[in-house]
Amino acid sequence: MILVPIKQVPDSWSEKELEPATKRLARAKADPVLNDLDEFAIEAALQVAEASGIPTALVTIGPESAREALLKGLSMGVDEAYHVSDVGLEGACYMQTSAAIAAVAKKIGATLIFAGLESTDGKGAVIPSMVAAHLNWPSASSLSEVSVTNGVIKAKLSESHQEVMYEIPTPCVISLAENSYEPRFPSFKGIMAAKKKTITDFAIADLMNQGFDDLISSPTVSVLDWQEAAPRSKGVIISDIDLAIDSLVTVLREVKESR
Amino acid sequence: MTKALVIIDLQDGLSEWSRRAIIHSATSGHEVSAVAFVSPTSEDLSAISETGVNVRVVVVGDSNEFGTQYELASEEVAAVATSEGASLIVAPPSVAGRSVAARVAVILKSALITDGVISDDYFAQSALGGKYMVRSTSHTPVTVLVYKSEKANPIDSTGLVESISQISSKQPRIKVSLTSRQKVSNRPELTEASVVVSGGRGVTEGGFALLEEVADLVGGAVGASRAAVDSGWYPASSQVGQTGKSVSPDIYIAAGISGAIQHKAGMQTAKKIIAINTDAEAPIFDISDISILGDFSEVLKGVVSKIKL
Repeated sequence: MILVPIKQVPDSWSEKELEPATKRLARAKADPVLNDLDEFAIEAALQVAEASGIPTALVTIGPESAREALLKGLSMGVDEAYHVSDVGLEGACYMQTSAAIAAVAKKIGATLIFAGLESTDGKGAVIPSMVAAHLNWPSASSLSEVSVTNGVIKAKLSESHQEVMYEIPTPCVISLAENSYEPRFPSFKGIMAAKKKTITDFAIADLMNQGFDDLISSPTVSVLDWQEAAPRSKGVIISDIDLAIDSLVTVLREVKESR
Repeated sequence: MTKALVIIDLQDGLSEWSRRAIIHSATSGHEVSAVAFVSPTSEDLSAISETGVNVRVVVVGDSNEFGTQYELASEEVAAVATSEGASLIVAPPSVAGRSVAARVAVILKSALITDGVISDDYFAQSALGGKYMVRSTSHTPVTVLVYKSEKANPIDSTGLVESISQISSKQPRIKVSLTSRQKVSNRPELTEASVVVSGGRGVTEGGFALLEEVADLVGGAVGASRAAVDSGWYPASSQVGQTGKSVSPDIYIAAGISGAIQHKAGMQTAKKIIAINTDAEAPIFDISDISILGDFSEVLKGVVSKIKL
C-alpha cells in the first residue's frame, strides 16, 4: 500500500497569526486548505497506483476539520483514509508527529510512503525522512518522475547544480518536489465517490504497541514564548527616474564597499 | 564546555553556510567538531582555520555520493556525534541537510529544531515568514539544529584545525547515479547573499538577464516570485516566498513584484527593501524602505551604467 501523509494548513495566501493561549498557529483565522505540496505526492501515488495496481491511503493528524483535507484527497482518487485525532497530539513536535505517522504505516502495513516536500506553514521538510528513520527504511527527498518496477522505485532529483537518478528498494519513503506533477482536479464523480470511502479514526491508544509508544507520547521540544517582529513601515516613494537610480546606486555602493 | 558537531559542506570549497555555522557554534559557547563527507583539501583546512575557531574535522566519506545518500550519511553523523560527545548537531538548511538532520534526530532520539539559531540557553526560530521570533527549548540531552545562517565575523585568533579520517565502509541500500552536473554558479546562495535582486510578473522572461547583471555587480544573488517561476522564466530553486526560500539579505530589490503575502513571507526580514513597480498600489510598497514608481528596466539599466563608471 502507498500511504500519503497529508496536512491541513492555513491557505498560504492568507495572513497567519500565533495564538498566545496555546502558543500555536491560530488556525481559525486563516482558511484551512490541503497543503499545496501534498497534492504532488497524491498525484504521484495515484499515477504509480494506476500503473501497478497498488492500493493507496491517506493519513493526517489534526482536528475534526482536517477531515476536509482527507476528503479532497479521496475525491482525487485515493482509496481510503486514516484520521489521527487526539488531544495528546495537539501542538505535537516533529518527533511525536513522525512517530505517529510511522505507527500508522506499520499498523496498516504500508510499504511505500509518498509525502509532500514540506508543509507551507511549518516549512521544516523533515517529517518524511523522520518517518523513514523510525521505520528503518531508506528515503530520498524532493523527487520527480517516479516509477515502480519490480518493487524498486526509480525517481529523479533535480538540484540547481546536478541531476541524479535514484533506485530505491521497497519499503521506502520519498518526498515529492514542488511542481513535480500536475495534480488532477477532483471530478464530480470523484467527489461523490469520496463520500462513500472509508475514513478510519485513530486516537493515540490505537497507535500503541507498534514500537513508538514513548516517542508519540513525549514532546521533545517546547515553545517558551515569542516576539512579534516590528511591522515594517512604508518608506519614501520616488517617481523621478534619475533620483531613483541615484538612490539605488548609493545603497548598492555602500554594500559593495563593506564587502 | 559542551560540544557541537557541524555537518560541513566541502563540495566546492568550504561553503559560506559551513563557515558561519562553525563561528556560530563557537560563539554560542561550544567546542567545535565538524563532520565532512569528502576529505578536506589544504585550501579547505585554511578556510576552516580562518574562522578563528579550533575545529576537529572527522572525515567519514570520500565521495560526493553522501550528499544524496541520506540514510548512510545520517548513520555516520550520529556515530560521530556520539564518539565526539556532541550535545548539539548543526545541519544545513538544504534538502540534503534537512533530510540528514531528520534521520539523525530519530537515531539519537533527540529534539529537532528547524531554521533556528542558538540564543543563550534557547533556540530562536523565525516563524510564519519572519512575522514572529519564537523561543523554544529542547527536552533531550542531544539537540539537532537546522541552522538558519546569519552573517558571522571570524573570531580574532588562528583556528587550530585537526583532520582525522574514519571512512565508512557501509554499503548504501539505495543506488544513485549522476545524470548531469553543471558548474555551480558563482553567485552566492540566496539564503546567504547580502544583496538579493528578485523579479516577478512585471519582469517577464527577458528581464532576468538584467537582474543577473545587477546582482553580479555587487556579488548578489537572483531570486524570483512564484508567478515568475510558474511562468517558467526562472528556476524553481530561486523561488523566494512562503513556498520557496526565506531570505534576509541586507538589501532586497523587488523588481516587478506586486508583494502578495506568499512572497512577503519569504523576504520581509530583509534589512532594507527596495521595490520597483509601475503600480503605485502594489502591496510591496507598504513594506518597502524605498519605493520606486517606474519601469524596472529603465531604473536598473541606469544603475548598471552608473555603477560601472
